[in-house]
Amino acid sequence: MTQEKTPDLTVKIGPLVLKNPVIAASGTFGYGLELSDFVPPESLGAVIVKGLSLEPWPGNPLPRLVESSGGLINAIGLENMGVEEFIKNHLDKIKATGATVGANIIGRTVEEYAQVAKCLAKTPIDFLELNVSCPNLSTPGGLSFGSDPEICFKLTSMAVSAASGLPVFVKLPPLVTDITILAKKVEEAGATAISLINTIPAMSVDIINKRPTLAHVTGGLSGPPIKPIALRLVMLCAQAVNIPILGLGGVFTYQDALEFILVGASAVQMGTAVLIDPLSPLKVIEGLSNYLKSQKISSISLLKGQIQTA
Amino acid sequence: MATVFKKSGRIIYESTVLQNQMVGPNTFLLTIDYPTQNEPILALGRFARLRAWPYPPFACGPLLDRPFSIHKSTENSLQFLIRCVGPSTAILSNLTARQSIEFLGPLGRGLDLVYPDYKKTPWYLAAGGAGLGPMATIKENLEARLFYGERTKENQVSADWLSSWAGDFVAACDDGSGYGFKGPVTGPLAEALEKEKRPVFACGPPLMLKAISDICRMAKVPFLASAEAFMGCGLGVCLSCSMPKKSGGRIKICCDGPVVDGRAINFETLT
Repeated sequence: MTQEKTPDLTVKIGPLVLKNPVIAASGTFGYGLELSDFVPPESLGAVIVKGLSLEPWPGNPLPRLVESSGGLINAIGLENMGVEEFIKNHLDKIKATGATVGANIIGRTVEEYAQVAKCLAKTPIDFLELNVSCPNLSTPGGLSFGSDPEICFKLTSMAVSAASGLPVFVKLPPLVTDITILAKKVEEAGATAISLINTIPAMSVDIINKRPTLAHVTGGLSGPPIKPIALRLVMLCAQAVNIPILGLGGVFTYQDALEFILVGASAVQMGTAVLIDPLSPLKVIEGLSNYLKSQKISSISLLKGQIQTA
Repeated sequence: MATVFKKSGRIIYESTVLQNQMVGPNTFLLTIDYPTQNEPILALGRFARLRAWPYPPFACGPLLDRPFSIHKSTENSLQFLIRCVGPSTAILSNLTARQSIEFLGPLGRGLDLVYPDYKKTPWYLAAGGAGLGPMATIKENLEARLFYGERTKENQVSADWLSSWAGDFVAACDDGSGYGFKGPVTGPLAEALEKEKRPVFACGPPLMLKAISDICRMAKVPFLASAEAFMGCGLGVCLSCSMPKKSGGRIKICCDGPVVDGRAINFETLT
């Protein structure tokens, strides 16, 4: 009798080895332990905590969230407790579970990003993710930092140097003329990996009150409606750079995850889905494992970039 | 199958509709099956997430679960009051017996945690519209008189149904088209407070809560409210319902509430 071999779900992201390719996306998994009752954080490839700034941020006025045709538009506005409070009272607890933990970091200036990165460099955090693309955060000119290749390069270089060896992922914006220019810039600047995509700038209108539905007027669209856009951008970047790509945008099922991996993502992040079904990341991991077994594929990494476009 | 998450006591349950009774022109009393092997839920303002649409969603269908106060909890069923106001509440309003519905709860903090001595005093309960949601379980657990307000007759629930669990209640209708006093429910509530001071528990639109908070401050009585804000998760991670406190800092309606000390927050920020 031959014993069926468990497929290998581990993936390598730079120096990190994740036990599976399913990562909790920033902003939908709190500071790592809020959902631990449903999803033990150590069962995921990694968890990325809520975006952290140098000082606590209050976020935007309510309403901050609205549904839109199978998706969500949020304008939370990066409310967070600040990096110091996170390091002091939360990081050790989440690390004690054995989870691989990333910190999403935000700032109002390039220097602020570097300062947050420096604070985290001396801690047990496993990696950083620079959020240069949140639609709720913009430069005085109104553009997200990530839209300008030179600013993006500078920001990434400074953060990489401030992080003193910690892997640095960069989460890029979807609405740019050529995503590959940005991807190459952050690769050149020393990024370990690219997270693609952040939410897409969007809005919703309350026709009764003739007002924007969100108090912040605009927000970021997430969920199933943005998956096709995300897939294309991941494919383009996977062809343009050598660093790993974490695909996100509407991953709800293991089939969605496979789509991202086939177009070149090394792993996926799940966000909106977790709000609806907190068990969904575990279901996606199980689904991927069963798929590999049924297809007799020994390792998930063999599927990476295997889409045939010719 | 019900999955109980021991640390938090939360339950995910693929439930079944037992009954969906129309109790007003746009209001439905949804009764769902709840496993008898579980402890009955002490509702007292706690809520649950309900979903009767697929995951992943239909292209243009509703996506998130929706939060509802637990109207009443028994050994083997739970009741929710659904006001049909949009696409997802329309789906819930149209459910019939034996259809399936996803339940995640109980969530949030109830009156017992915010005001531990709640049984020691008689109360006034003030409900505006769909704010009747949490009231049956509250009424069941303490001595109270219910004040019920609506904007127009088109929204009023059946007075017979209401008195079946609320007993002798006071009604008000803003435009005078329906039963009860003409004008906002805050009028009769303020009069009652002049005659006899009691703590007030209220649930309703932000402006009503603001008005009641002013009345209670003048009458020097405690004011507890079940607050509402659009929620993404109900579990404290998305921060959609995070609002500022008067004293500084913030609270998340989903897990620091929904029952809150009404004097601690500015209800205007919820409009």
